[in-house]
Amino acid sequence: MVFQFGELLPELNVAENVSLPLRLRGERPDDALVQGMLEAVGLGRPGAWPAQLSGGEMQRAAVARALVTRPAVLLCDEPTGSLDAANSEQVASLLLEVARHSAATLVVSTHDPAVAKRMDESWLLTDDGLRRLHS
Amino acid sequence: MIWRTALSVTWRGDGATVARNVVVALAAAAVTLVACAATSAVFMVHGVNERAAARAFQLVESGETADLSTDVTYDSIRGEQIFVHYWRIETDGVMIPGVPPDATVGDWFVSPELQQQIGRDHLLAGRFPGARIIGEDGIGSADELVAYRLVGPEVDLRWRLSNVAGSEHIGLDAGVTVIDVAIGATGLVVVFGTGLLRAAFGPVSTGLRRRLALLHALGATRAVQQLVAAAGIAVSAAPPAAAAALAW
Repeated sequence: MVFQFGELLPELNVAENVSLPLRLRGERPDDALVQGMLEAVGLGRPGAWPAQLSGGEMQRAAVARALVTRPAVLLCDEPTGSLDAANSEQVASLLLEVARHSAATLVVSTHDPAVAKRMDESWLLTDDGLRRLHS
Repeated sequence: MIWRTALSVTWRGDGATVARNVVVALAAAAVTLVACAATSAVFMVHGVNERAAARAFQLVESGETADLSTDVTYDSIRGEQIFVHYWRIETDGVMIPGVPPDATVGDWFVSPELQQQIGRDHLLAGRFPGARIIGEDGIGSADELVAYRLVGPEVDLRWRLSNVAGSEHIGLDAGVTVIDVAIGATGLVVVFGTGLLRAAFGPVSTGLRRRLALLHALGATRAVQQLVAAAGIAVSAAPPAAAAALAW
């Protein structure tokens, strides 16, 4: 799962945040796997603290954290909602790329039409219900 | 890493977390004090009962052999009653609880409280000349006012006792059992502790709940969430609890 504001744990560095879901499952994190995830999302500072990261970097770390358990479905709640246009574009591209690369189903909720358009399929949720925008 | 997260949750500087830590710390200190008081009460009653048992004797019928003979009179100091027991040893090797084996006829022994009163009142000292202190096993409680005097065969004593635990007590019976006190103390600790800890987990715990929700979303099992919450509580509660125990 990827949250709107990243929700990295401030007391853990980037690599520790990424490996946290594995530890919570009782698994011993594979350093190579964590490093690979960070490289996949374009983050080169595993020892950095969340407070030292920009908004875009935090979301990249959050994406890496969501992927480290190799989920079949990646849920993203407004993953670009807190980012500027440039970072929003980069994170959306990253999500699509890693989802395709890992064969995960990507489910994104967003208010950003540009992000919605980039998905394979998009639905509009209104008071009247769900309406398919494109597929 | 889990411990670091627990510590971080506990030591966040936001107002709600600080308020929660204060409540947890106060709750821990209060519960510790109650637990210490309850434990002390149980030990105290146990000690009182043991001492009472040591001072229990069996009355013997006329014609039977007695180990001790005794009688009691009453004196008073500023309105407080002093139990004055006269004793005669009838069987060699038998001794009154709290009285040393070298005691001889004519010796006075007084309880620690009475000894203190004697130290402040020279007239009282004249009533119990040369009195030594009765040992701990010879008194029921610290504030008891008791005096013993060993007498010879020329004194007529009403009660004849055998050195076997029975229904006759020197001084007052404890009147309360350890079980009664233990049940009461445990109930007090449980009720008091539960109430205070519920208060500690109450509406000021938003920060903790938010963090636990995040860990849950990241795949933390209930056990891990409970570990984080418990570790956070322990970090807040341990120092004030230790301080309260030391203060007690």
